[in-house]
Amino acid sequence: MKPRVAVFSFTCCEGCSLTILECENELLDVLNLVTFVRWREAMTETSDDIDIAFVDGSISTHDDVRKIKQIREMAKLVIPIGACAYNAGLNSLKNRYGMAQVKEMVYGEDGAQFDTIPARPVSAVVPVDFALPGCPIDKDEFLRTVRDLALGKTPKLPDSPVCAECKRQGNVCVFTKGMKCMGPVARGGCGALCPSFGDYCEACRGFVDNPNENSHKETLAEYGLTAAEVMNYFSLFNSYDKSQI
Amino acid sequence: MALELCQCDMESDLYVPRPAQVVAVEPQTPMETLVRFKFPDGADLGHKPGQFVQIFIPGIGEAPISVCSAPNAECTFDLTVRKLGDVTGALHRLQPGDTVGIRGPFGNGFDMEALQGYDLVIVGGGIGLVPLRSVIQYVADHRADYANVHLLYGFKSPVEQMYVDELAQWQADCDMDVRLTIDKPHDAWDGHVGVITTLFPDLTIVPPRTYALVVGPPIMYQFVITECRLKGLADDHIIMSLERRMRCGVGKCGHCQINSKYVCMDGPVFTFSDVKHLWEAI
Amino acid sequence: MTVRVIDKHGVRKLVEKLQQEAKVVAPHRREGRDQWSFQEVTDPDLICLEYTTSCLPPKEFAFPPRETLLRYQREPEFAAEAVIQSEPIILFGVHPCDIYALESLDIAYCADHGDPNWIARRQQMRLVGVDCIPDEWCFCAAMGTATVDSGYDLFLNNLGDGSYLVEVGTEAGEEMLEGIELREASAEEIAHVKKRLTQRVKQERKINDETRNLPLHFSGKAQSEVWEKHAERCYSCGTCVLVCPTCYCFDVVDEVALTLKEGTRERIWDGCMLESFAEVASGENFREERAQRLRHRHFRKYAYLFTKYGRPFCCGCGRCVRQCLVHIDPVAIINDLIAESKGGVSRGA
Repeated sequence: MKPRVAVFSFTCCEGCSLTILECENELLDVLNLVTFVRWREAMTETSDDIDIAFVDGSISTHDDVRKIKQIREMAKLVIPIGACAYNAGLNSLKNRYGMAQVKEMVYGEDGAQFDTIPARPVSAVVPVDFALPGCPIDKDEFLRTVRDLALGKTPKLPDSPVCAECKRQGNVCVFTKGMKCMGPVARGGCGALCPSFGDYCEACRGFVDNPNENSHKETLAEYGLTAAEVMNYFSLFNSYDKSQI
Repeated sequence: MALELCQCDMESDLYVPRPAQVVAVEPQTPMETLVRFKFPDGADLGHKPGQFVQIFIPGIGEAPISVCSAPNAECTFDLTVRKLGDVTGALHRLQPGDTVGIRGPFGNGFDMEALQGYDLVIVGGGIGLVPLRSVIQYVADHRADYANVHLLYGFKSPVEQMYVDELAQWQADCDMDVRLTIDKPHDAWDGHVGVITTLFPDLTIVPPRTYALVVGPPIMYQFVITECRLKGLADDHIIMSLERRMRCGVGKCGHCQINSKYVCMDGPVFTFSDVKHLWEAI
Repeated sequence: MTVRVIDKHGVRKLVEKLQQEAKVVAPHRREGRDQWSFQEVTDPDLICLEYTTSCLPPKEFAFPPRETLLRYQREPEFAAEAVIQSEPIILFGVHPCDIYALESLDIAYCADHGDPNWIARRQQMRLVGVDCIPDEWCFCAAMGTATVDSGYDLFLNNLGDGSYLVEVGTEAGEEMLEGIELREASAEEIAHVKKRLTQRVKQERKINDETRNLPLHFSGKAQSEVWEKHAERCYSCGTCVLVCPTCYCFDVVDEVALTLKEGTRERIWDGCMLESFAEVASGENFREERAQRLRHRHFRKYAYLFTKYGRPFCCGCGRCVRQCLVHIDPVAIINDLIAESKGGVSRGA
């Protein structure tokens, strides 16, 4: 029996579930490994009989909390995909404000009627079995994960930093081009995608297991960033703080 | 072209596993299982006790595993594995007839000829007994070549005892002094209780004619080595086998390095005098 | 034998000729401050023979960052075959330090078991060296690699006006020159090259003892404070090991097709500075701390492999410290260790 797979979306742009849909050349092979049974972005059919639930988006309303708990009960494996689901990503930037203030900033006077809570990763609400970081997820990493699950192999996230992947790609360090980069502390696995295409790394996949954060704060300051700018580099994708919820 | 490149034999099959077939599966404990292999063409693995192979489960990966049987006429070889990761997990699911890939044997192994004529104290902690089984079987096959043989085997609880029948057989038929101990008292156990070092006081060792062969978890070594030294054994009479995560098995990839030593080439068998000055060893 | 000179036009002709015979890779300028890398030559005019150091060392053409070692099928039954790829290639414009490094890896990859993938690629490789003027991070003189007398087919010494004094290292090198117009070098030109050689050997960055004594200064230094001190800013990002011309560690990963029917095993550059490098199956990490990893890296280069193969496994190219964002410097580390041996205070790098 092929595993029955569902894709769910919470607070996000749904770009990660779109990434799955964009596996155009591989989707037929994927369909030989798993059966999709529920996926709003891709199909009309629906089912509650689920083996693997891929979830993108942060949990940011009371309703989200209720739904993700339901999903946890339905599915054998829950796998958050993408920065929003993995560590609350960009969404957690709102957590530094009061929720009333957030509602008013976004919706004006009518804001009070909206339900919102500080954004949190899926793992802050229910236990998860694995997670794919990134904004968006890396297509190949998703395919490897599906393949590994089909083979009965534990999927693994690389823990080497983006710097290491830049070197393997033969990239010139973006610091020599006048940019500032999170590569030395950022979790790799993306193949250093952004630096390979002329940009710098924003650590959208989170940090390595033991990042030398202090050293990197000093480095960024040595390269001319103010303390506030350093904080911005660190917090863009990685500001989620348990104590704020 | 550099001299080395001209004179060097390129080993084209260095990274190519040979297909080997599962001929038997014998679960040992809830966590450990023994799998017996044979090459389809009947070729012998050609290993020495204490050597290891790289076993490849197609699609899953490769892992270094000690061969736990002595060379035999049937040309089979045994691997006993604890379920720890993906490869060992897949090994637990193997059935007779399945095919895996094997590279090796690798490493130095125990120098069984150098041990001839000596008393042996074989000390295995937990799955440390696995590589030692190849030694014990070899000694049983060449029993007259060795003097007194003591086997000390410690494990946590009765259910974790491996090779139950063989242990009895080594005691009964092979003139070996087999002593077992479990860490904590257990209802289903009326034997010795206590960590493995508690078996040492009753042991009579004549240091110059004795070698200790010790394999166990890292924490065990320092205690057992202390006991061995208290009994008067010289550091080069204390032999151990170390575990590292070899990727290549042939001294290239660097993963198994302990200070200057490559476990895959210089080991996995070392004397304590080889490694006592290596701060990364144990 | 007469000393010969190849002019700017001749260098271009030489490259064009070599392009007929093999893939030619040479240093090219990259975007970014003082950045070069070895790339396949498409237009000989884009080659930049006057460069300080390439980002990645030329070892990538014999030991690619990722390469397939094995191809296998899972179904209907397991079968595997070696994948050993190589092609004729000419490395054009390699510095002495990098030539030394390639020879060092020949020694390591041929020792005990000959690595088929490295050897196959190296056997089809020809090398044209070029001299250099060190930058502020180089320390080749300290490693004795500012000049080399083997390991190349041709070696070009810059005369400063676009022409080069040519040294021939092998018969293959002599063949390369067939049909290329050369002229005899003048006494001034020979003197000019000698002067450049002297310049190269007189570098600012020195170690405070003879190179051959390096292993002695590492002896007994496992517990030195040097390691903690220099590791404080270390990211453990692996840059130093991955850009090192004499590092050759790798990991092996499995790739399986989505059909699950076939797969490959691939080796990728790995290094002892990366956190999980010394992890074993039970989860124990034998080099858990950054300082332990930094210590191992330096012991390996200047003590373990030095003792085993009789040469430092460091070519003094300075890539590690140049590309390290916090500039952790082997010269400073070595001089601290030497100072410790002498019981005094380091005089710095």
